[in-house]
Amino acid sequence: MSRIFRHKSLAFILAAVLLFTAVYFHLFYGIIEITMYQAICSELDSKSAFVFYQHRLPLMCTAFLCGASLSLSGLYLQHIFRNILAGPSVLGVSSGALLFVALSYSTFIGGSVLAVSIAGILGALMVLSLLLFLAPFVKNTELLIVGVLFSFIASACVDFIAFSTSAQTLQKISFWGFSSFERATFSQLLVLGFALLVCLLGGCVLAPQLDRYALGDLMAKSIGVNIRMLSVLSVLMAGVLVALSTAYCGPVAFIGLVVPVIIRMVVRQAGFLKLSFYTVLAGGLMGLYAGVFQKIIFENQILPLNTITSLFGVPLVLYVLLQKKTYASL
Amino acid sequence: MLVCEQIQLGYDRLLVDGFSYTFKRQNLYGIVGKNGSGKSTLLQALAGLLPVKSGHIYLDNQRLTRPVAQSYISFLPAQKQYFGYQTLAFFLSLFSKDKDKQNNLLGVFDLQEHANKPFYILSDGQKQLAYIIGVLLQEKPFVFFDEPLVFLDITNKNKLMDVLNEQIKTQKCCVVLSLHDQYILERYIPHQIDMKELL
Repeated sequence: MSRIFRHKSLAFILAAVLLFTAVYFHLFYGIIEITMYQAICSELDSKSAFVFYQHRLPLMCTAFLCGASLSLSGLYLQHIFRNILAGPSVLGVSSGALLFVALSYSTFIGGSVLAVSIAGILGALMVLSLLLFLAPFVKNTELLIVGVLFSFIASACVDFIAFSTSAQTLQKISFWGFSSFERATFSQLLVLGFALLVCLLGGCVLAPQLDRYALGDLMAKSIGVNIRMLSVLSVLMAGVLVALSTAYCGPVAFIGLVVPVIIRMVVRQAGFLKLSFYTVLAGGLMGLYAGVFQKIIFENQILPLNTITSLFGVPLVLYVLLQKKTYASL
Repeated sequence: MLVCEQIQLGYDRLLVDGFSYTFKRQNLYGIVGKNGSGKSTLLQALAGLLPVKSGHIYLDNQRLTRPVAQSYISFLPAQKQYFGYQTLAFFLSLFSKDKDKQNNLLGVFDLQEHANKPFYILSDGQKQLAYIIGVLLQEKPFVFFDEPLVFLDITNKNKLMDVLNEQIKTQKCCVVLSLHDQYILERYIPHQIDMKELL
Protein backbone atom coordinates (compact mmCIF):
# COMPACT_ATOMS: atom_id res chain seq x y z
CA MET A 1 0.00 0.00 0.00
CA SER A 2 2.83 2.37 0.80
CA ARG A 3 4.13 2.00 -2.75
CA ILE A 4 1.11 3.85 -4.13
CA PHE A 5 1.86 6.77 -1.87
CA ARG A 6 5.57 6.94 -2.52
CA HIS A 7 5.12 10.14 -4.46
CA LYS A 8 3.99 12.69 -1.94
CA SER A 9 2.49 15.11 -4.43
CA LEU A 10 0.46 12.32 -6.00
CA ALA A 11 -0.99 11.42 -2.60
CA PHE A 12 -1.90 15.04 -1.93
CA ILE A 13 -3.59 15.44 -5.31
CA LEU A 14 -5.53 12.23 -4.70
CA ALA A 15 -6.59 13.45 -1.25
CA ALA A 16 -7.64 16.83 -2.66
CA VAL A 17 -9.72 15.20 -5.39
CA LEU A 18 -11.36 12.88 -2.88
CA LEU A 19 -12.09 15.77 -0.55
CA PHE A 20 -13.55 17.89 -3.32
CA THR A 21 -15.77 15.04 -4.52
CA ALA A 22 -17.04 14.37 -1.02
CA VAL A 23 -17.77 18.05 -0.38
CA TYR A 24 -19.54 18.26 -3.73
CA PHE A 25 -21.81 15.31 -2.96
CA HIS A 26 -22.56 16.63 0.51
CA LEU A 27 -23.49 20.13 -0.58
CA PHE A 28 -24.80 19.88 -4.13
CA TYR A 29 -26.43 16.47 -4.33
CA GLY A 30 -29.92 15.81 -3.08
CA ILE A 31 -33.61 16.15 -3.75
CA ILE A 32 -33.50 19.92 -3.72
CA GLU A 33 -31.29 21.11 -6.52
CA ILE A 34 -28.60 23.57 -5.51
CA THR A 35 -25.79 24.32 -7.94
CA MET A 36 -22.31 25.39 -7.03
CA TYR A 37 -22.83 28.64 -8.91
CA GLN A 38 -25.90 29.51 -6.81
CA ALA A 39 -24.12 28.81 -3.57
CA ILE A 40 -20.96 30.73 -4.39
CA CYS A 41 -22.77 33.80 -5.77
CA SER A 42 -25.31 33.55 -2.92
CA GLU A 43 -28.27 33.34 -5.30
CA LEU A 44 -30.20 30.88 -3.16
CA ASP A 45 -33.93 31.30 -2.59
CA SER A 46 -35.14 31.01 0.99
CA LYS A 47 -35.98 27.30 0.74
CA SER A 48 -32.66 26.31 -0.82
CA ALA A 49 -30.81 28.57 1.61
CA PHE A 50 -32.48 26.80 4.50
CA VAL A 51 -31.58 23.36 3.14
CA PHE A 52 -28.05 24.47 2.36
CA TYR A 53 -27.18 26.25 5.59
CA GLN A 54 -29.38 24.43 8.10
CA HIS A 55 -29.06 20.92 6.78
CA ARG A 56 -26.33 20.11 4.29
CA LEU A 57 -23.53 22.29 5.63
CA PRO A 58 -23.91 21.23 9.28
CA LEU A 59 -24.28 17.59 8.20
CA MET A 60 -21.04 17.80 6.27
CA CYS A 61 -19.23 19.43 9.19
CA THR A 62 -20.55 16.78 11.59
CA ALA A 63 -19.45 13.98 9.26
CA PHE A 64 -15.95 15.45 9.04
CA LEU A 65 -15.58 16.22 12.75
CA CYS A 66 -17.02 12.90 13.88
CA GLY A 67 -14.79 10.87 11.55
CA ALA A 68 -11.74 12.91 12.50
CA SER A 69 -12.42 12.69 16.26
CA LEU A 70 -12.97 8.94 16.22
CA SER A 71 -9.85 8.38 14.14
CA LEU A 72 -7.67 10.54 16.34
CA SER A 73 -8.94 8.77 19.44
CA GLY A 74 -8.21 5.44 17.73
CA LEU A 75 -4.64 6.59 17.04
CA TYR A 76 -4.15 7.49 20.72
CA LEU A 77 -5.67 4.22 21.96
CA GLN A 78 -3.62 2.05 19.60
CA HIS A 79 -0.50 3.86 20.68
CA ILE A 80 -1.10 3.71 24.42
CA PHE A 81 -2.22 0.07 24.43
CA ARG A 82 0.43 -0.73 21.77
CA ASN A 83 -2.13 -2.70 19.81
CA ILE A 84 -3.30 -1.91 16.28
CA LEU A 85 -6.68 -3.47 16.95
CA ALA A 86 -7.45 -1.21 19.89
CA GLY A 87 -10.19 1.02 18.53
CA PRO A 88 -12.87 2.92 20.44
CA SER A 89 -15.62 0.48 19.45
CA VAL A 90 -13.53 -2.65 20.06
CA LEU A 91 -12.44 -1.58 23.54
CA GLY A 92 -16.01 -0.94 24.64
CA VAL A 93 -15.48 2.81 24.98
CA SER A 94 -18.41 3.65 22.73
CA SER A 95 -20.64 1.24 24.66
CA GLY A 96 -19.63 2.86 27.95
CA ALA A 97 -20.58 6.24 26.54
CA LEU A 98 -23.86 4.79 25.23
CA LEU A 99 -24.71 3.39 28.67
CA PHE A 100 -24.22 6.71 30.42
CA VAL A 101 -26.11 8.61 27.73
CA ALA A 102 -29.00 6.18 28.14
CA LEU A 103 -28.84 6.75 31.91
CA SER A 104 -28.93 10.49 31.34
CA TYR A 105 -31.95 10.22 29.00
CA SER A 106 -33.91 7.96 31.31
CA THR A 107 -33.35 9.85 34.57
CA PHE A 108 -34.11 13.37 35.73
CA ILE A 109 -30.84 14.58 34.14
CA GLY A 110 -32.48 14.64 30.71
CA GLY A 111 -31.12 14.95 27.19
CA SER A 112 -29.71 18.48 27.05
CA VAL A 113 -26.47 19.08 25.14
CA LEU A 114 -24.48 19.57 28.32
CA ALA A 115 -25.99 16.57 30.13
CA VAL A 116 -25.50 14.19 27.22
CA SER A 117 -21.91 15.39 26.60
CA ILE A 118 -20.92 15.02 30.22
CA ALA A 119 -22.66 11.66 30.55
CA GLY A 120 -20.91 10.39 27.42
CA ILE A 121 -17.51 11.57 28.63
CA LEU A 122 -18.01 9.98 32.05
CA GLY A 123 -19.04 6.66 30.50
CA ALA A 124 -16.13 6.58 28.07
CA LEU A 125 -13.62 7.56 30.73
CA MET A 126 -14.98 4.96 33.14
CA VAL A 127 -14.33 2.17 30.64
CA LEU A 128 -10.94 3.60 29.71
CA SER A 129 -9.76 3.96 33.29
CA LEU A 130 -10.81 0.37 33.99
CA LEU A 131 -8.86 -0.75 30.91
CA LEU A 132 -5.84 1.32 31.91
CA PHE A 133 -6.00 -0.22 35.38
CA LEU A 134 -6.22 -3.75 33.94
CA ALA A 135 -3.62 -3.25 31.19
CA PRO A 136 -0.56 -4.26 33.25
CA PHE A 137 -2.21 -7.51 34.37
CA VAL A 138 -3.42 -8.93 31.06
CA LYS A 139 -1.85 -9.67 27.69
CA ASN A 140 -2.39 -7.35 24.76
CA THR A 141 -4.88 -9.63 23.04
CA GLU A 142 -6.68 -10.34 26.29
CA LEU A 143 -7.23 -6.63 26.78
CA LEU A 144 -9.29 -6.59 23.59
CA ILE A 145 -11.42 -9.40 24.97
CA VAL A 146 -11.88 -7.43 28.19
CA GLY A 147 -13.06 -4.52 26.03
CA VAL A 148 -15.55 -6.75 24.24
CA LEU A 149 -16.79 -8.03 27.62
CA PHE A 150 -17.30 -4.42 28.73
CA SER A 151 -19.40 -3.81 25.61
CA PHE A 152 -21.59 -6.79 26.50
CA ILE A 153 -22.12 -5.58 30.06
CA ALA A 154 -22.84 -2.05 28.86
CA SER A 155 -25.38 -3.15 26.26
CA ALA A 156 -27.03 -5.46 28.81
CA CYS A 157 -27.40 -2.45 31.13
CA VAL A 158 -28.74 -0.34 28.26
CA ASP A 159 -31.31 -3.07 27.52
CA PHE A 160 -32.26 -3.09 31.17
CA ILE A 161 -32.73 0.67 31.20
CA ALA A 162 -34.71 0.50 27.96
CA PHE A 163 -36.88 -2.24 29.41
CA SER A 164 -37.73 -0.35 32.57
CA THR A 165 -38.32 3.08 31.09
CA SER A 166 -41.18 4.88 29.36
CA ALA A 167 -41.98 4.24 25.71
CA GLN A 168 -40.88 7.75 24.82
CA THR A 169 -37.44 7.40 26.42
CA LEU A 170 -37.08 3.94 24.93
CA GLN A 171 -37.64 5.42 21.50
CA LYS A 172 -35.07 8.14 22.16
CA ILE A 173 -32.47 5.64 23.32
CA SER A 174 -32.95 3.21 20.46
CA PHE A 175 -33.03 6.04 17.95
CA TRP A 176 -29.79 7.29 19.42
CA GLY A 177 -28.31 3.80 19.05
CA PHE A 178 -28.82 4.09 15.27
CA SER A 179 -25.84 6.27 14.59
CA SER A 180 -26.27 9.17 12.21
CA PHE A 181 -24.62 12.49 11.39
CA GLU A 182 -28.03 14.11 11.02
CA ARG A 183 -28.90 15.12 14.51
CA ALA A 184 -25.91 17.06 15.85
CA THR A 185 -26.87 20.65 16.60
CA PHE A 186 -24.75 23.70 15.87
CA SER A 187 -23.65 24.08 19.50
CA GLN A 188 -22.67 20.40 19.61
CA LEU A 189 -20.62 20.93 16.46
CA LEU A 190 -18.76 23.77 18.13
CA VAL A 191 -18.03 21.65 21.21
CA LEU A 192 -16.79 18.74 19.09
CA GLY A 193 -14.66 21.01 16.90
CA PHE A 194 -13.12 22.67 19.93
CA ALA A 195 -12.40 19.31 21.60
CA LEU A 196 -10.78 18.01 18.41
CA LEU A 197 -8.58 21.09 18.19
CA VAL A 198 -7.52 20.81 21.85
CA CYS A 199 -6.73 17.10 21.49
CA LEU A 200 -4.79 17.68 18.28
CA LEU A 201 -2.73 20.41 19.98
CA GLY A 202 -2.29 18.13 22.99
CA GLY A 203 -0.96 15.52 20.59
CA CYS A 204 1.53 18.06 19.21
CA VAL A 205 2.84 18.75 22.71
CA LEU A 206 3.05 15.06 23.65
CA ALA A 207 4.28 13.81 20.25
CA PRO A 208 8.01 13.49 21.08
CA GLN A 209 7.16 11.56 24.25
CA LEU A 210 4.59 9.40 22.46
CA ASP A 211 7.19 8.46 19.82
CA ARG A 212 9.55 7.27 22.54
CA TYR A 213 6.71 5.52 24.38
CA ALA A 214 6.51 3.15 21.39
CA LEU A 215 9.92 1.72 22.38
CA GLY A 216 8.36 -0.20 25.28
CA ASP A 217 7.82 0.80 28.91
CA LEU A 218 11.29 0.16 30.34
CA MET A 219 13.20 1.58 27.39
CA ALA A 220 10.94 4.66 27.27
CA LYS A 221 11.28 5.17 31.01
CA SER A 222 15.05 4.96 30.77
CA ILE A 223 15.14 7.82 28.25
CA GLY A 224 12.92 10.03 30.34
CA VAL A 225 9.32 9.33 29.34
CA ASN A 226 6.81 9.70 32.14
CA ILE A 227 4.76 6.62 31.27
CA ARG A 228 1.92 7.10 33.72
CA MET A 229 1.29 10.78 32.97
CA LEU A 230 1.49 10.13 29.25
CA SER A 231 -1.00 7.25 29.30
CA VAL A 232 -3.45 9.10 31.51
CA LEU A 233 -3.37 12.24 29.33
CA SER A 234 -3.66 10.34 26.06
CA VAL A 235 -6.48 8.15 27.30
CA LEU A 236 -8.24 11.24 28.64
CA MET A 237 -8.06 12.92 25.23
CA ALA A 238 -9.14 9.77 23.40
CA GLY A 239 -12.00 9.34 25.85
CA VAL A 240 -13.28 12.88 25.41
CA LEU A 241 -13.20 12.54 21.61
CA VAL A 242 -15.02 9.19 21.54
CA ALA A 243 -17.50 10.35 24.14
CA LEU A 244 -18.47 13.56 22.36
CA SER A 245 -18.79 12.03 18.92
CA THR A 246 -20.70 9.08 20.38
CA ALA A 247 -22.96 11.37 22.38
CA TYR A 248 -23.80 13.51 19.35
CA CYS A 249 -23.85 10.99 16.48
CA GLY A 250 -24.44 7.67 18.21
CA PRO A 251 -21.93 4.82 18.26
CA VAL A 252 -20.12 4.81 14.90
CA ALA A 253 -18.09 1.64 14.41
CA PHE A 254 -14.77 0.93 12.69
CA ILE A 255 -13.76 4.42 11.51
CA GLY A 256 -11.70 4.85 14.67
CA LEU A 257 -9.99 1.52 14.10
CA VAL A 258 -9.39 1.51 10.36
CA VAL A 259 -8.17 5.04 9.64
CA PRO A 260 -5.16 5.13 12.00
CA VAL A 261 -4.04 1.68 10.80
CA ILE A 262 -4.09 2.78 7.17
CA ILE A 263 -2.21 5.97 8.04
CA ARG A 264 0.40 3.98 9.97
CA MET A 265 0.89 1.68 6.99
CA VAL A 266 1.34 4.59 4.61
CA VAL A 267 3.45 6.98 6.70
CA ARG A 268 6.76 5.29 7.49
CA GLN A 269 9.21 8.06 8.15
CA ALA A 270 7.26 10.42 10.36
CA GLY A 271 6.44 10.50 14.02
CA PHE A 272 3.25 10.87 15.99
CA LEU A 273 2.88 14.58 15.16
CA LYS A 274 2.46 14.00 11.43
CA LEU A 275 0.55 10.77 12.02
CA SER A 276 -2.04 12.65 14.04
CA PHE A 277 -2.52 15.34 11.39
CA TYR A 278 -2.85 12.80 8.58
CA THR A 279 -5.19 10.74 10.75
CA VAL A 280 -7.45 13.72 11.37
CA LEU A 281 -7.60 14.53 7.66
CA ALA A 282 -8.13 10.93 6.56
CA GLY A 283 -10.64 10.35 9.34
CA GLY A 284 -12.59 13.43 8.30
CA LEU A 285 -12.53 12.20 4.73
CA MET A 286 -13.73 8.76 5.83
CA GLY A 287 -16.56 10.41 7.79
CA LEU A 288 -17.51 12.48 4.75
CA TYR A 289 -17.63 9.38 2.55
CA ALA A 290 -19.68 7.43 5.08
CA GLY A 291 -22.16 10.31 4.86
CA VAL A 292 -22.01 10.37 1.05
CA PHE A 293 -22.69 6.64 0.78
CA GLN A 294 -25.53 6.96 3.23
CA LYS A 295 -26.97 9.66 1.02
CA ILE A 296 -26.44 8.09 -2.41
CA ILE A 297 -27.05 4.38 -1.85
CA PHE A 298 -30.06 4.73 0.35
CA GLU A 299 -31.63 7.74 -1.35
CA ASN A 300 -31.73 9.99 1.69
CA GLN A 301 -33.33 7.46 3.99
CA ILE A 302 -32.00 7.47 7.51
CA LEU A 303 -30.13 4.21 7.63
CA PRO A 304 -27.84 3.61 10.62
CA LEU A 305 -24.33 4.77 9.78
CA ASN A 306 -22.93 1.65 11.39
CA THR A 307 -24.35 -0.39 8.56
CA ILE A 308 -22.13 1.49 6.15
CA THR A 309 -19.01 1.78 8.29
CA SER A 310 -19.20 -1.93 9.15
CA LEU A 311 -19.66 -2.96 5.52
CA PHE A 312 -16.53 -1.05 4.54
CA GLY A 313 -14.61 -1.37 7.80
CA VAL A 314 -14.70 -5.12 8.35
CA PRO A 315 -13.01 -6.05 5.04
CA LEU A 316 -10.30 -3.47 5.73
CA VAL A 317 -9.66 -4.83 9.22
CA LEU A 318 -9.53 -8.37 7.79
CA TYR A 319 -7.02 -7.20 5.19
CA VAL A 320 -4.79 -5.82 7.94
CA LEU A 321 -5.13 -9.01 9.99
CA LEU A 322 -4.25 -11.20 7.04
CA GLN A 323 -0.98 -9.36 6.54
CA LYS A 324 0.44 -11.77 9.12
CA LYS A 325 3.88 -10.34 9.31
CA THR A 326 2.65 -6.85 9.96
CA TYR A 327 0.21 -7.89 12.60
CA ALA A 328 2.35 -10.45 14.37
CA SER A 329 5.02 -7.93 15.13
CA LEU A 330 2.79 -5.16 16.38
CA MET B 1 31.44 6.02 39.70
CA LEU B 2 28.36 4.17 40.82
CA VAL B 3 28.38 2.92 44.39
CA CYS B 4 25.98 0.36 45.90
CA GLU B 5 25.78 0.27 49.65
CA GLN B 6 24.19 -2.79 51.24
CA ILE B 7 21.34 -2.95 48.74
CA GLN B 8 18.53 -5.42 49.10
CA LEU B 9 16.37 -6.40 46.11
CA GLY B 10 13.59 -8.82 45.39
CA TYR B 11 9.86 -9.37 45.31
CA ASP B 12 8.21 -11.97 47.58
CA ARG B 13 11.58 -13.64 47.78
CA LEU B 14 14.86 -11.77 48.28
CA LEU B 15 17.18 -11.92 45.24
CA VAL B 16 19.98 -9.66 46.39
CA ASP B 17 20.86 -9.14 50.04
CA GLY B 18 23.44 -6.70 51.32
CA PHE B 19 25.24 -6.11 48.02
CA SER B 20 27.97 -3.49 48.15
CA TYR B 21 30.04 -2.74 45.08
CA THR B 22 31.67 0.10 43.18
CA PHE B 23 31.31 0.37 39.40
CA LYS B 24 34.10 2.54 38.02
CA ARG B 25 34.30 4.38 34.71
CA GLN B 26 36.48 2.91 31.98
CA ASN B 27 35.60 -0.57 33.13
CA LEU B 28 33.53 -3.46 31.79
CA TYR B 29 31.49 -5.57 34.19
CA GLY B 30 29.61 -8.80 33.52
CA ILE B 31 26.74 -10.11 35.61
CA VAL B 32 26.30 -13.88 35.47
CA GLY B 33 23.84 -16.23 37.12
CA LYS B 34 21.23 -18.81 36.31
CA ASN B 35 17.68 -18.00 35.10
CA GLY B 36 15.56 -16.32 37.73
CA SER B 37 18.54 -15.38 39.89
CA GLY B 38 17.77 -11.66 39.61
CA LYS B 39 20.14 -10.34 36.96
CA SER B 40 17.47 -8.18 35.34
CA THR B 41 16.23 -6.95 38.72
CA LEU B 42 19.75 -5.92 39.72
CA LEU B 43 20.37 -4.16 36.40
CA GLN B 44 17.08 -2.29 36.57
CA ALA B 45 17.84 -1.14 40.09
CA LEU B 46 21.35 -0.01 39.08
CA ALA B 47 19.80 1.93 36.18
CA GLY B 48 17.44 3.68 38.58
CA LEU B 49 14.33 2.07 37.12
CA LEU B 50 13.42 -0.03 40.14
CA PRO B 51 13.47 1.08 43.78
CA VAL B 52 15.72 -0.84 46.17
CA LYS B 53 14.14 -2.52 49.22
CA SER B 54 16.85 -1.15 51.44
CA GLY B 55 20.34 0.30 51.08
CA HIS B 56 21.55 3.11 48.86
CA ILE B 57 22.90 3.70 45.37
CA TYR B 58 25.04 6.75 44.68
CA LEU B 59 26.14 8.06 41.30
CA ASP B 60 29.16 10.37 41.55
CA ASN B 61 28.21 11.06 45.18
CA GLN B 62 24.58 12.00 44.41
CA ARG B 63 21.62 9.86 45.36
CA LEU B 64 20.43 7.90 42.33
CA THR B 65 17.07 9.51 41.55
CA ARG B 66 15.12 9.42 38.25
CA PRO B 67 16.47 12.78 36.99
CA VAL B 68 20.06 11.79 37.85
CA ALA B 69 19.60 8.39 36.17
CA GLN B 70 18.16 10.04 33.06
CA SER B 71 21.14 12.28 32.54
CA TYR B 72 23.87 9.74 33.31
CA ILE B 73 22.51 6.29 32.51
CA SER B 74 21.34 4.46 29.41
CA PHE B 75 19.69 1.07 29.68
CA LEU B 76 18.82 -1.83 27.38
CA PRO B 77 15.96 -3.95 28.74
CA ALA B 78 15.82 -7.67 27.97
CA GLN B 79 12.18 -7.47 26.86
CA LYS B 80 11.39 -4.97 24.19
CA GLN B 81 8.94 -4.49 21.39
CA TYR B 82 8.77 -1.47 19.15
CA PHE B 83 5.23 -0.43 18.34
CA GLY B 84 5.18 1.30 14.99
CA TYR B 85 5.42 0.84 11.27
CA GLN B 86 8.25 3.34 10.98
CA THR B 87 11.66 2.68 9.45
CA LEU B 88 14.89 1.76 11.23
CA ALA B 89 16.21 5.27 10.50
CA PHE B 90 13.21 6.82 12.26
CA PHE B 91 13.62 4.37 15.16
CA LEU B 92 17.22 5.50 15.66
CA SER B 93 16.25 9.17 15.46
CA LEU B 94 14.31 8.64 18.69
CA PHE B 95 17.65 8.23 20.49
CA SER B 96 19.80 10.80 18.75
CA LYS B 97 19.33 13.18 15.85
CA ASP B 98 23.04 12.96 14.99
CA LYS B 99 23.04 11.40 11.48
CA ASP B 100 26.82 10.84 11.42
CA LYS B 101 26.81 8.84 14.63
CA GLN B 102 23.80 6.85 13.43
CA ASN B 103 25.44 5.99 10.11
CA ASN B 104 28.71 5.18 11.81
CA LEU B 105 27.11 2.63 14.14
CA LEU B 106 24.86 1.25 11.37
CA GLY B 107 28.04 0.74 9.34
CA VAL B 108 29.79 -1.13 12.15
CA PHE B 109 26.99 -3.71 12.25
CA ASP B 110 26.36 -3.77 8.46
CA LEU B 111 22.85 -2.38 8.76
CA GLN B 112 23.06 0.65 6.40
CA GLU B 113 21.11 -1.10 3.65
CA HIS B 114 18.26 -1.69 6.09
CA ALA B 115 18.00 1.92 7.31
CA ASN B 116 14.95 2.69 5.19
CA LYS B 117 13.16 -0.60 5.79
CA PRO B 118 10.28 -0.71 8.27
CA PHE B 119 11.52 -1.81 11.69
CA TYR B 120 9.08 -4.70 11.96
CA ILE B 121 10.41 -6.62 8.95
CA LEU B 122 13.92 -6.82 10.44
CA SER B 123 15.03 -10.13 11.96
CA ASP B 124 15.22 -10.59 15.74
CA GLY B 125 18.99 -10.22 15.64
CA GLN B 126 18.80 -7.04 13.58
CA LYS B 127 16.19 -5.61 15.95
CA GLN B 128 18.45 -6.44 18.89
CA LEU B 129 21.32 -4.62 17.16
CA ALA B 130 19.03 -1.65 16.47
CA TYR B 131 18.17 -1.37 20.16
CA ILE B 132 21.85 -1.69 21.10
CA ILE B 133 22.72 1.10 18.64
CA GLY B 134 19.95 3.17 20.24
CA VAL B 135 21.53 2.71 23.66
CA LEU B 136 25.02 3.54 22.38
CA LEU B 137 23.75 6.65 20.55
CA GLN B 138 22.79 8.21 23.86
CA GLU B 139 26.49 8.34 24.85
CA LYS B 140 25.83 8.24 28.58
CA PRO B 141 28.69 7.68 31.07
CA PHE B 142 26.99 4.59 32.54
CA VAL B 143 25.60 1.97 30.17
CA PHE B 144 23.62 -1.05 31.34
CA PHE B 145 22.71 -3.93 29.02
CA ASP B 146 20.32 -6.70 30.02
CA GLU B 147 21.25 -9.71 27.86
CA PRO B 148 22.63 -7.77 24.86
CA LEU B 149 23.98 -10.92 23.20
CA VAL B 150 20.69 -12.75 22.63
CA PHE B 151 19.82 -13.32 18.93
CA LEU B 152 23.30 -12.17 17.86
CA ASP B 153 25.57 -14.36 15.73
CA ILE B 154 29.22 -14.96 16.71
CA THR B 155 30.49 -12.20 14.40
CA ASN B 156 28.13 -9.61 15.81
CA LYS B 157 28.82 -10.70 19.40
CA ASN B 158 32.52 -10.09 18.83
CA LYS B 159 31.82 -6.82 17.01
CA LEU B 160 29.62 -5.62 19.87
CA MET B 161 32.28 -6.39 22.46
CA ASP B 162 34.90 -4.57 20.36
CA VAL B 163 32.61 -1.54 20.01
CA LEU B 164 31.96 -1.54 23.77
CA ASN B 165 35.67 -1.73 24.57
CA GLU B 166 36.34 1.13 22.16
CA GLN B 167 33.58 3.28 23.71
CA ILE B 168 34.95 2.54 27.18
CA LYS B 169 38.33 3.86 26.04
CA THR B 170 37.18 6.88 24.02
CA GLN B 171 34.24 8.03 26.12
CA LYS B 172 35.53 6.83 29.46
CA CYS B 173 32.22 5.19 30.24
CA CYS B 174 31.30 2.30 32.49
CA VAL B 175 29.55 -0.68 30.86
CA VAL B 176 27.66 -3.37 32.78
CA LEU B 177 26.03 -6.30 31.01
CA SER B 178 24.34 -9.54 31.91
CA LEU B 179 25.19 -12.58 29.82
CA HIS B 180 25.34 -16.37 29.60
CA ASP B 181 28.04 -16.72 26.97
CA GLN B 182 31.09 -18.46 28.48
CA TYR B 183 33.31 -17.67 25.50
CA ILE B 184 32.58 -13.93 25.57
CA LEU B 185 32.90 -13.92 29.34
CA GLU B 186 36.39 -15.40 29.31
CA ARG B 187 37.60 -13.44 26.34
CA TYR B 188 36.31 -9.93 27.10
CA ILE B 189 35.00 -9.41 30.63
CA PRO B 190 37.56 -8.54 33.31
CA HIS B 191 35.14 -8.01 36.23
CA GLN B 192 32.45 -10.57 36.97
CA ILE B 193 29.60 -10.45 39.43
CA ASP B 194 28.02 -13.82 40.18
CA MET B 195 24.41 -13.62 41.35
CA LYS B 196 24.76 -16.63 43.63
CA GLU B 197 27.22 -14.68 45.78
CA LEU B 198 24.77 -11.82 46.34
CA LEU B 199 22.23 -13.65 48.44
